[in-house]
Amino acid sequence: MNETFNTEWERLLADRLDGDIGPEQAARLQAMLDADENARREAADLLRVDLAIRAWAGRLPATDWSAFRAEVMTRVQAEAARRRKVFRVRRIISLTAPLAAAAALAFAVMYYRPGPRADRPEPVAGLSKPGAIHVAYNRPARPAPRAGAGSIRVTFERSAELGRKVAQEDETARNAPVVAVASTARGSIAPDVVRCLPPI
Amino acid sequence: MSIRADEERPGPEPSDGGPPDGELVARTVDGDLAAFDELVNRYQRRAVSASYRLLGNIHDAAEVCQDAFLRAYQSIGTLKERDRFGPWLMRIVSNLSLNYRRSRKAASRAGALPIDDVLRDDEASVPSTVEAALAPGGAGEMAEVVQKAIQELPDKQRLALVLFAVEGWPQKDVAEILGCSLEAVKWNVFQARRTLKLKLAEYL
Repeated sequence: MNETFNTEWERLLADRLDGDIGPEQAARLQAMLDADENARREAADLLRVDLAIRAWAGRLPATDWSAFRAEVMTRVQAEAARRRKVFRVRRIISLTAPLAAAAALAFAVMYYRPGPRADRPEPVAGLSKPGAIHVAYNRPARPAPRAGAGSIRVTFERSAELGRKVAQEDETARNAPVVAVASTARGSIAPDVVRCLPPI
Repeated sequence: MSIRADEERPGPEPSDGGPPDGELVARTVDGDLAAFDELVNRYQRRAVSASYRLLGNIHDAAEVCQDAFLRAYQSIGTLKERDRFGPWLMRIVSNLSLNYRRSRKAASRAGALPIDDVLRDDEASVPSTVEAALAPGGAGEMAEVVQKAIQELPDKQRLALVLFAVEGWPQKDVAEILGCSLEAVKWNVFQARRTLKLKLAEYL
C-alpha cells in the first residue's frame, strides 16, 4: 500500500490534527478549507473524531501498579536465578572441558593400541607384546641339508613379510619349511602364507 | 493484580529526575535488578495502557505486559541504543499485544476457548460495561463505541493511532516502534481518523 497523502490539504490537515503545523501552513490550510466545502466538512468531522479519541483516552481502569511491578520483578528474579545457574554450569564446563580434553588426549597417547583393521592382525592369545614375532624351532641338530628337515614356526602379528624375513635370516633354518602362522583381523591362520621358502 | 472500579488517566511519563534509561539499562546488563525494577516502574503505566488500548481488556493487557517486561529483561543485552529503551519496550509490547489478539481471535473462531475465557473475552470486548453504567451523561456508551471502532481498525492504523494520538508517543518513536517511516505513521494515523469518522458518524 502506498502510504502517502494524495492531496496537499490532506497532508496539512493531518499536520494540524497532529499538532505539528506552523503558522504559514495553517494559513494555507485555512485558505484551502475556505475554498472547498467538502474539505471543510471533512476537517470538522475529523476534529470531532479527535476529540472523541482524546475523551476515550482518559479511560483506563485503575490498576495496582505496585502489585504489577512486584509480579514482574518476581518473574525477572526467577529468570535471573535461572541465568546465574546456567552461567555457573557454563563456567564450570568452560574451565573443566580443556582439562578433560587434555586428560583424554594424554590417556589416549599412553594407552593407545591400534585397533583391529583388515590388514592388521589381532593380538594372539598368550603373546604378550603386540607386534612381536615369535619364532618356534623344530630345528635339526645341524643346518638342514634338505628341505623338510625340521621346520620353523613363525607366529607374527604385524606382517607376513616380516615373518618370512625372520625365517630367511635364520641361518639355522636354511631350506627348512617355514610355517608362517599369521594371526589376522579375521582371526584365522591364512593358509596362503604357509609355504616352503626357497633357499636363501 | 487488583483492578479498582474507578478510573485514572495513564498520565505522562514520570519525570522523577532519576538516572537516564541508558544508565539503567547498562546497570541491568551488569546484573543490577534494582535498575530494571526502576525501568519497570518508569514504563509500566504506558506499556499497560497501550496494550489495553490494543486489546480492550486490562487483565489481558497486564498479562501481556508482564511477559513483555520479562522478554525485555531476557534480551536487554542486545539493545544497542540503550537510551532508546522506551520505544524498544513498546515495540515488544505492541508485537505481543497483536500476537495475543490474533491468537485470541483464532481460538475464539476455533471454539477452543474455555467458557470462563469466553465470558472474560466477552467482558473484554465491552470493557466499559460497568463503567458505562457508572458514567454520567452517556459518556460511557460513547467510550464503548470508540473502543469498539478502534478495535476494528487494521493493525497498523490501530497501533499508529493508539501510540501517537492516545498514548502520546512522538511520531519519530512510533515510526521506530512500527518499523516504518515518519510519513507512513502520519498517513496511518490520518487514515485511522478517517475510518473512525465513518464508524462514529451517528455519534458525532
